[in-house]
Amino acid sequence: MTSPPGVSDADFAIALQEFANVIGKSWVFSSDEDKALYDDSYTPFFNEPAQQLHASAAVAPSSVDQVQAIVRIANTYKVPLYATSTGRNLGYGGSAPVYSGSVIVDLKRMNRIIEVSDSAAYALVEPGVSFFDLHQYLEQNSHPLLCSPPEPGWGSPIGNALDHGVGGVAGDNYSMLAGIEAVLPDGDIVRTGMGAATTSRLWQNYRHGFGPSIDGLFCQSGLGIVTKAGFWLTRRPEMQSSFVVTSFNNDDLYPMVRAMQGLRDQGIVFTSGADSPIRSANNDTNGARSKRIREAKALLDQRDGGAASAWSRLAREKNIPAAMVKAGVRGPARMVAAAIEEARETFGKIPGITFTEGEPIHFPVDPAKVPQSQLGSLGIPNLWAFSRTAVQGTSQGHYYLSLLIRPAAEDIFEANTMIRRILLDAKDEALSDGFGWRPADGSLSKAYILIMDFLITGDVALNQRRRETFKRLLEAMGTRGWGTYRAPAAFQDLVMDQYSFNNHALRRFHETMKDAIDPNGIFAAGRSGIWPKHLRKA
Amino acid sequence: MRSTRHALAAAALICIPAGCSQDPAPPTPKTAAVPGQATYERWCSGCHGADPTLAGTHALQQRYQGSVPAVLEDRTDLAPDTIKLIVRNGMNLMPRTRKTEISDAELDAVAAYLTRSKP
Repeated sequence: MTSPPGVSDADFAIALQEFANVIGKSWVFSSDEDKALYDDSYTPFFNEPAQQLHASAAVAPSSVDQVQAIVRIANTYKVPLYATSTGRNLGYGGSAPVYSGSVIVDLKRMNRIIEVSDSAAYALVEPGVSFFDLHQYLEQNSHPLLCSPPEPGWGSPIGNALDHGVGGVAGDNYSMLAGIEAVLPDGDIVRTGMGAATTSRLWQNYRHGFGPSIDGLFCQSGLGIVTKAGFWLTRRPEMQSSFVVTSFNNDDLYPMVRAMQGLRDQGIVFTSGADSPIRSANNDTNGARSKRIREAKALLDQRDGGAASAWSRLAREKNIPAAMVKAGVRGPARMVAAAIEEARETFGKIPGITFTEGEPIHFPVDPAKVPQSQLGSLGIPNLWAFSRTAVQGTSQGHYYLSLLIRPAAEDIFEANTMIRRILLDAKDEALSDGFGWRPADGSLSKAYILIMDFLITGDVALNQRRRETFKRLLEAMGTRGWGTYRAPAAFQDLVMDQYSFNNHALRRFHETMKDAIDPNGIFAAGRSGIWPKHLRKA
Repeated sequence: MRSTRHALAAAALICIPAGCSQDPAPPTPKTAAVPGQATYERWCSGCHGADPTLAGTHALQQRYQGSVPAVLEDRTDLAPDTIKLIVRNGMNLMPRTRKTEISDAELDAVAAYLTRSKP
């Protein structure tokens, strides 16, 4: 038995027995073999056991009462806990704790779908419910509603939203969160918003309740274990369609992105993306194979990213656009047709562009008849992300650098050029080629996402160098004013360091709340770089 | 996309009515005739189904280059202990699977399903 840091073997043995008294011995996992199941399958420290994050045990409660009892026991013996929903946050730390030696509270058994309302378009679920589960429930019970799956679909709506995840239907999944129930570090239980009024019938209808809203405090934090949450769901539309706008002129990307944001702001499109296909043509990602265009690689390897005129010339020569934006539209057929026409007219004001309407998709959708890449935007959870990743070759998994930039062509070009310069200086050709050139994901309404996946290899020295490259990129992007909205466990301290306005006032605020709400520091120590007092560096 | 469709159309494997707490005990399959098949379809066929672009099938094709079938359900040489080891510990891109996802009993059934006698 390996006890958590700061807990004696004797106390830990008693705590484990008391956990077993609450949830049953079979749901307390303390053998070496069982604890190992909670290791991060995509640890950035592959073959570096001293650096890996491990659980000292795991407990799997099936009810809120059991969660409360576990928390009270943990407080008695000062056992650090770390809660996971479905425990599939691969790329960000998986089911391993940030503070190594914590006991995992595995909420997978709490998998009830408690309520779905068609009239108000919401669902109330437990943390162990996956997007697959919710989608199946909605389909089998004929609810005209869509969940908003990220990739992949086995994650938890609750876990995903609380980690600021992004889904194909709603974009910012946290923005759809409607009411939380959480067990607090002292074992007490709180409901947020209208749920705090005992007989409220509006818990999932009106999110603010009365007084300060506290839902955000449970995101990426260690202030509560969320045991229920509501979600606004998108009403299933009659149909969905898309359009793509392309140009061989590199600099057309500037007005194209501006035009798209205008449509986005009016609610005419619900999701978008921006790309420079001639630059991303050599990517081995996004479901496509590298086109291995030698001239494109030569331009990408230039420190200035290649002149716009050179890219325009290459684009025409290879008949691959230099600028592209795309968007999704949904709703009743008449409104979709009108939206497409509005978009066509809007983009038509940019000379030389080509506007292409996509294939319409009518609901209900047969998943076998649509491209896998579109399943998420249709509310159909899937595992296509693994298919897409598998073509990159054998790896031990990956972790993500999740960047936010402004929804502007200048940021897309500059961020990519800056990243590529740092990668070139790192002399990691595989990482550089793997990055290629990143299109911007427009799932969020006012920021673009650039995701960079760092493949983990069997080479320890290479993995170490890649972690250093990750840190250099993080710092460079932060200095330029671009943020990171989500981070692997191993880098969360560094990310929080970047949020440094007014002598790290945000972190100081979090620490004040942490000390008040979790004085024993037993919940998710270190999550987002917020440590309990006894573990804080001086 | 047959495998994806099977994964999504599988029988309700978690408790649907409100108020019922489901553990990973063997569910009642709607379409599966063989014990373990329903669990396989729920958890495995999303990556290991017949579609060659699925991550697991693709990876096994790359690994074995056709010397054995890339689709797990078509293999006749698998050993139960090896299946269970890989499911629990993962391999390369394939992550671990915990006992709160697939119980030991369900995993035994999956292993039996994949190693059953095939015509």
